[in-house]
This record gives sequence, C-alpha cells and structure tokens, in this order.
Amino acid sequence: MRLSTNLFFQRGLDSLQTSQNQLDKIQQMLTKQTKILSPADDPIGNSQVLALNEKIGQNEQFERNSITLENNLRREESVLSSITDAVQKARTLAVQAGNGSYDQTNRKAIASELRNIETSIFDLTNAQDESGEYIFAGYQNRTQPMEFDDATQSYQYVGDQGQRTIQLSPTLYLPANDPGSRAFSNVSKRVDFELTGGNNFIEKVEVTDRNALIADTETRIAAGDPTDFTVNFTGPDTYEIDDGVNPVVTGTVNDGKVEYNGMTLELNSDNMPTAGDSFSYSIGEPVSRNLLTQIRDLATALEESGPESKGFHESEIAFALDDFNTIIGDLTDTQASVGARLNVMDNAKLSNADIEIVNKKARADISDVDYSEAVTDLVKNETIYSAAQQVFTRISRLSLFDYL
Amino acid sequence: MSFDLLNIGKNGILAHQQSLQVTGQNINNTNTPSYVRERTEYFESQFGGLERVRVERMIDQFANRQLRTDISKVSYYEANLEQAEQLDTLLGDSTTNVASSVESFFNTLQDANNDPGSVTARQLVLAEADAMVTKFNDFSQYLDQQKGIINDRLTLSTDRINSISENLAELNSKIQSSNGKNSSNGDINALLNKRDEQLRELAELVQFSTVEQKNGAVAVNLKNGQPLVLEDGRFNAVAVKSNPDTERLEMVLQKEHGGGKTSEFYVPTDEVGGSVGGYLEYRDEVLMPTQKRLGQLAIRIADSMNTQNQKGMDLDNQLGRKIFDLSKTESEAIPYSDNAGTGEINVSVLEGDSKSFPSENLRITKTGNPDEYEIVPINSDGTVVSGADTITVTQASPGTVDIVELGISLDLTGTANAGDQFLAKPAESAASEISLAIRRPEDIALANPVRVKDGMDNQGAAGIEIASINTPDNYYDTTNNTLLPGAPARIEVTGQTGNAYDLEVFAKDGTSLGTITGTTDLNGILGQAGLTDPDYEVDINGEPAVGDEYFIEYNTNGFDDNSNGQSMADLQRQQLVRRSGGEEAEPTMTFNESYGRLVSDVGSRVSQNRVLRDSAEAIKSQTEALYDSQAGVNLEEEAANLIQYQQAYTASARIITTSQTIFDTLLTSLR
Repeated sequence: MRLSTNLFFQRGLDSLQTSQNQLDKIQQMLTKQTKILSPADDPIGNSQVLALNEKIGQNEQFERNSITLENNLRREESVLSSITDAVQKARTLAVQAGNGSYDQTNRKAIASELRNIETSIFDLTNAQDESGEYIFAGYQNRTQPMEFDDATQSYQYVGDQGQRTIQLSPTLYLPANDPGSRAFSNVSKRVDFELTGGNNFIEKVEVTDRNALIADTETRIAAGDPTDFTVNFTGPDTYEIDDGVNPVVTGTVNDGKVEYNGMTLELNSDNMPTAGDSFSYSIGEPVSRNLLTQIRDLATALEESGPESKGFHESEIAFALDDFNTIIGDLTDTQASVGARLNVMDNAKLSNADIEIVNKKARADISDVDYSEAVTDLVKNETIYSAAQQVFTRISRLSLFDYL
Repeated sequence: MSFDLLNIGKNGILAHQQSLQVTGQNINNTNTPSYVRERTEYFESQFGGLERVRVERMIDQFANRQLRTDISKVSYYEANLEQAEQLDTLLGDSTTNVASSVESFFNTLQDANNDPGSVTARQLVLAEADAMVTKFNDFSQYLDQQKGIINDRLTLSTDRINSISENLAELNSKIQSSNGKNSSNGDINALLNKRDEQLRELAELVQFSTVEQKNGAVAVNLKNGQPLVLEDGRFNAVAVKSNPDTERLEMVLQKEHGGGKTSEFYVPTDEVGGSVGGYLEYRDEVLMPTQKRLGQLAIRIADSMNTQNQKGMDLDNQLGRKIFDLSKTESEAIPYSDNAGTGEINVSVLEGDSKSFPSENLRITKTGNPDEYEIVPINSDGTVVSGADTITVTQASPGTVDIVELGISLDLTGTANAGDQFLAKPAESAASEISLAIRRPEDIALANPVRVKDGMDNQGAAGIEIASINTPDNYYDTTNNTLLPGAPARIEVTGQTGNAYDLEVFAKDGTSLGTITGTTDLNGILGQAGLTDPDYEVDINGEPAVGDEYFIEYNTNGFDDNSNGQSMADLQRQQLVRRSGGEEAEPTMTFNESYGRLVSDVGSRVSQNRVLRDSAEAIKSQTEALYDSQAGVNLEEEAANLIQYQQAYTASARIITTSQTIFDTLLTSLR
C-alpha cells in the first residue's frame, strides 16, 4: 500500500503518544496506590469496593462503640463492688449487734457505724459519670436516682427502669447500664411498731410472723380501718383486742405472751395485768424498703434500743440479716450480668476484628496495586517508549531531497 | 516536418511544465490537511505527439465517504467520553463523594447514641448532617452546570452546522457553474478540496450521507433521511429546541417550503451521531439519570430520617420534628406546548410515605374520564420505562391527591383538557433543594417518647417492654409535652386461668379503654385490647401474677434513652431506596447500594464507551491509511517525479532545439 508522508509521521507520533499514555497511567497507579483510578477502570470492582468500604467503616464504628460500652460497664462494676463490700460490713455489724451481752451504749456505737455506711452507700447509688450524669438513674440521668422521702422516712428510687443499649454488630445490642430499680430493688416492708400505752405491762415485743402482720396491716389500711389496737384485759388470762371500729377479738394469754397477727408481746412477769388493765400499740404503714432504708431502720432501731423499745431491736436485727442476704444476692446477680455482658463484648470485639481483616483483604485484592507487577510494567513501557523515540528520530531524518 | 517537430516539442514542454507545476504544488501542500494529491495524466494525440495533459485529483471516493462515517463515530465517542470521564473521576474521588459523607453522618449518630445526653455529641451529628446536605447540594449544582454546558455546546454546534451548510451550498453552486469548463486544468480542485474539508468538519459534528449529483453538486442528508444541504444550492437550518422540558434541548431541522412557511422536524437523539450526538447521549443516558438518582437518594435519606426523628423525643422533652427541610423540593410539572387546557400540577414528595419514590421523570396525562389522570415513569427521551405500570388516579381540580405507589403528592389547579400532558421531574433538582431544618443539637430525638415500668409491688415474674413506636397521632399532648388523659397508661392483670390471662387497659385519667380475656399471648397488648392504630405498642414478657400492674408514661427527662437513636442509626442498613420506576414499588436498595449503583452505571458506561472509542479509532486509522494511500503526498515520490519531469522537460526542450537546428540547416542549404 502506498504510504503518504503525513501518514508516515502520524504513525510514528501515534506510537509515541500511546507509550506516553501507558507510562502516565502506570505512574498514576503507583502514586495513588490503587488499580482503580476511576470507577470506569473496573466498574464491578469499584462497586464491590464501595460496599466493602461501608462495611469496614461500620466495623470501625462498632469498635469505638465497644470502648464506650466497656468504660460504662467497668465503672458500674466497680461501684457495685464497693456497695457490696459496704453491705457485707453492715451485715457483720448486724451480727455483732445481736450479741446479747451488748447494752444500749454498745448498740449506739454500732448504729453510728451503720450511719456512716448508710451515707457512703447513698453516695455510691447516686454515682455520676464524667459528664455528671447519674449511672443508676435509668433514662432520667440528670435526676438524682436515690432520694430521701421525709414523709415515709425512707429512701425512694425516683429513676425509671430504662436501659440504654450500645450496638456492637449489626445484630448485637448490649445494655450499657442497669437502673437502680434492678440493682437496689425493694426487698421487704417495714414493720413500724409503737407502744402507745401501758408500757409497764410489757416485757418484750417480738415480731414472729412478719408477712402475716404486714398483710393484715395493708388490708386494714386499704379498707380504711385503723391500725391502733387496745388490748383490754378482762381477766388475768383473757383479753379483748379492740381497734375501735371492728368487733373485738378475744384471746387468751399463752405462756405469758399475747399473740396477735404475728406480733408476740411478752407480758412483764413483775407486773402482770389483771382485769381492767390495758395497753395499746399502733402499727404504722408498711413502707417498701430497699437496702438504704433497711440500714437506716436498723441503725434507728439500735439507737433507740433502750428498755422502752422492749427489745424490738432484736426483731429488726433478724429482719436485717434476712434482707441483707437477699440484697447481697441481688447485687451479685447484677454484677454477674455486667460480667457476662463484658464477656459477650469481648467475643464481639474478636469477631469484629476477624471480619475487619477479611474485608480489608478483599478490598485490597480488588483495588490495590501489585507493586512488583506495576514496576515491571513501568520498566517495560519505558523501554518501549525509548525505542519508539529512537526509531522515529532515525527514520524521520531520511529524505530523498537530501540527495538531490 | 520541422513545424511538426516544433509543435511536438512545444506541446511536450507545456505538458511537462504543467507536470512540474503539479509536482511543485503537491510538495508545497504536503502538510495542507484537506489537500488531495494531483497527478497529471498524459493523452496521446491522434496525430502523433502529445495532445493534452489532464490534471487528476487522486481521491478514493469510497474511502473518503467511509472516512467521514468513521470520523462521526469517533467524534461521537470522544464527545461522550470527554464529559463522562470528568463525571466518572468525580464520582470515584474518595474525598468528594457523597457516600463517605453519609457514612460520617451515621457514625456521628452512633457516637451520639453512646452518650445521648451529651450536647457535644449531638452538635457533631448536626455538623455532619449539614456537611452531608451541602455535599448533595454542591454535587447536584455541579450537574446542573454540566447540563448548562452541554446546552451551550449544542447551541454552538448547531450554529457551526448552519454555517458549514451555508458554505457547502455556496461551494456547490460555484462548483456547478464551473464544472466542465475548467476540470481539465484542475481549477476546481481547490473548490472540491475545500468542500471535502467542510464535509469532514461537518462529519465531526453530525452523521450524514452524501449523494453526488450529475452536475457536480453534493446533497447532504442527515442519518434519518432529512435533507440538510439540497442540490440546488439551498440548505435547511438546524436549531435546538425543547419540548416540553426547557432544560433538555433537542436538535430540530427547519425546512422551508414555498411561500415562506417553515416546518420543524425533531431529529431523534439516537440518530444524530457525531459530537452533537455524543453530547446528547451523554446528557440523556449518563448526566440526567445520575442527577435524578442523586435526588432520589437525597429525598429518601431525608424523609426516612425525618419520619424516624418524629417518632422520638428530643432533649427538650418535646416530640421530635423534621431534621431535613424538603419543602423546596416541590416542583411544577411542565405542560407540553400543545396542551389546550389551563391545568397546572405541582408535584411534591409524599413525606412519611415516600418509599416508592422513583428516580425517573413522570408523564401525567389527563384522560377522557372526568377528573382522571394517568401517571407513568418515562426515560429521558420520552419513552415509557420498560416494565413500568401506569397509575390511574381520580381527583377533582383544585385539589390534592397522594400517590403512595410513587411516593408523591399532586396538587392540581386550573382545568386540564382531555389529552393534555405534563412532564414531572420530582427527583431532578431534589438534591439541590434539600436543607437542614433544625439548628439546635437538642432537637435530635434520640429517646423514645414513652417509657414503661413494672409495678414496684408486682408479685409475678414478668416485665413490660415497648414493642414498637409508631408515628405519633393522637396520644400525645404536645403543648405540655406529656400524654393526653385518654392515652393508655396502665395495664392490670385481672385474672388468670392456667396460662391464659385476663388484662385490662386503663387510660391516664383512669378510664377503662379495653379488656382482654383468656389470652395466652402477651404480645401486642394494646392491639389485643381493641385499640386501633395505637401510637405505641407493648409486650409483657414472662408470667405475671393477678394484681400486677404495668405502667406507660411520657419519657420526661429520659435523656439517656437512645432507643429512637438506635432505630435512626439502623436506617443505614435497611433497604429504603426503590431500584427503578419499571420494577416493583417496594424499595430494595440501601443508601450505599443506591449510590454504588449510580457510580457503577456511570463507570461501566465509560468503560464500555472507551472500548467502543478505541475500536472506532482503530477503524478510522485504517480508513485514513486507505484514503491517504491515494490522496496523500509522498515526498519521496514527488522528488522522483521532479527528476523525471525535469528530464522530460529537458528532452522536450531538446526537441525544439533540434527542430530549430533542422530549420537552420534547411535554410542554410537553400542559400
């Protein structure tokens, strides 16, 4: 085929430009460290890379989330641990207080220690995190969860039951806090006993069946009946219990004791009542008690444990020991649940780390430059380019006109 | 005899002189782009000697025509790629792309969920939301600018086409009038070269075919047969017009009839070819769909976040409001120019129910039935999207009708006649028009609006949980930020037989709202009690005891609650974007998948067009080589010719000298 001079030069130029383009492309790949300079270079690969980027990004977010979760849970763990220690201490003191050889002064000393424990546990239940938000308040973390209610002379939990969750994987959400309603729940009800008259006839007061007493008192309060009782003796062994509204209930003295509704009142052997004598007592409203109220009531009972209390403090100590066991059980349960959550979180972290490696490798396989391949290409194209230049220079110098 | 010899010599010298001239001309014009090599052809005389020399223009018409077609093809792909590669690079850039902005937004949302009471974390969410909205705005506006640039190019191109057509018509008439007279000495070759040059320039712009006329003129017809340049020296002009979309220009041919009347013919965009065709195809197949999909994505993100935020409670104890403002995305449906009625239609997003919102344009047609309209998704060129369903709605004007199958709402005014058509583009500028509606970090509603509580004295082993929160409707007192007195607030277990329970639901003011008897399923208590569409629904898990109570209350001060925030963060993983107006109405893509598809469609089209361009270039190179083998000047050849003709000239001159010598000898011998 006949070649025109233009075509001749054009072809030389074309091959130079092609080599140049190749070199430029390789240079870009090496500096940007990716095979995919624009989506058109590998449309399918690029969309895979986009999807992988999203997954890797989400994974990194889950890692950040797990750090927050761990901080929250460890803080909660440590506070709960301190509270448990304090309750153990209170329990030991309660056992001590039950020592028969202690007198009121000794018991007052124990009460004062209990008061200290009460204050420190109160502070712990109202613990705050670094932003000043209460950790045991459920959702309402700007409101102090534990408050003292003057009307009922007890500690009330005023938070809610909310739990905030933190996401560790597309399907795994773990609670980051426990509300006070779970950790410091009500364990029992208070028996509020007061001897209002005829003290000298009574030797000792004992609550033998707490549940029956509380059930009866609650029924009375619900029905609007009074909870003040007067015990009138109709004879040395018989008595009538009158609450002022309902018909009287008669009973007989049993082994020197008056028993009614779970209350056992031991009569004073030095001053036994006879017909016409009476004494009276009243039962206050049973208030639900959590661990703070329990400690407070115990301390109060020990402080007022003189002869006028008629040994009521012994019942209170028995209740307290009972309740402390339950409380410690609850606290340990909550701590265990926190620990379990930390374990799940650790597992999630490990599997997230594995997934991250898999995804990053997949992405690298699609888009990363194989350096040895690229550098080899570079050298090859350099050679081609240089050869094209030389050829062009030599051929373009040839012309018949040089010889005319 | 000597006279004959003189004649022969004279003819020879003249002929060779001409040949040398032609050779010289060839050498001079080696680099002239449109120059076609000329060659002299010798004709022997009947009477001996040389009669004449004819200058021949060495052109292979077949290759010439083929070359024009190939040039059109290459220009088509070059024009397309010139624009599309810019867009492709922009989409692939990891710092400017929209997907990374959306990801950052959801990441900050997760951070805020980890500490919902923190105003700082919320401030970051707001900042990222702002950045994301700005990214959408900027990118959509960039695409708008691209549209403007394409329209400018189209206008310039049609102007150029018109001026070339005018030149061609002029050249045609010149060639016609001089044809036959000067063809032998090659005067019209320059005109022919010029005409070919104009034709080649035209080929870069549009695709056409030529018909040679006997009188030497060349008629130019567009690919679809419409005549551009006629054989009698007239030409038709092209222009760009739009119907009905004022932003989408198309090429029209304006034909003149006798009497000053003109009629217009739209040239179908897939039959234009050349760079004009390339730009048109880029605009219709790459640029517009990309902008519309971007708009669709923006609307779906905004509406989904808005709906979810409105289900929650913010840091001011108020029910959440809209995070993003979609009010400016309302657009007017453009009436077609031949509409007879006065109807007007405004299209807006059906907020809260936009999951079937498509990215394509919609054509709304008023049918013959009263107050009835048909709506169908269409492509950029006006054809119906394959597989798309036509939706029929009935609504009197003035009035508003919600179309859930398309996620839009139509606002009708005026009176439309039967057969009137409107073009709605709800997605096209949506991404430019969304904005942030909230400015305070406290307005992000991360908490649930209600919380539940087990009764403190419950004896049973069961707990109450929120099953779902629905869009607030009629349970909330928004003035006082609490529940209305009639909203369900307490559930009491009234009886139990085996594992079947009786329950009663009470309102906040104590009235009984409903009872459930003998149920073994403790899920969806409010629904079971007969409450329709409750704003919230609860489950009881476990085994309650008779007398147990469960409470629902407004989540006042519940700032550590991130339940609604978790639902908002989960939107990233849900399928919320509809794939195509021609496919099912249910969304099947996540936000990232939707953006990924937008990018990969552009990328694969660019990749495909690169291959097509490369092969078109290869073909063109071959054709060029074929053409050049005839028409190109080879300097070596011309150098050889120079020597050859020089020698021939010298030889012919010698003939003259010889004839003179003979004559002199004759004269001398007669003395």
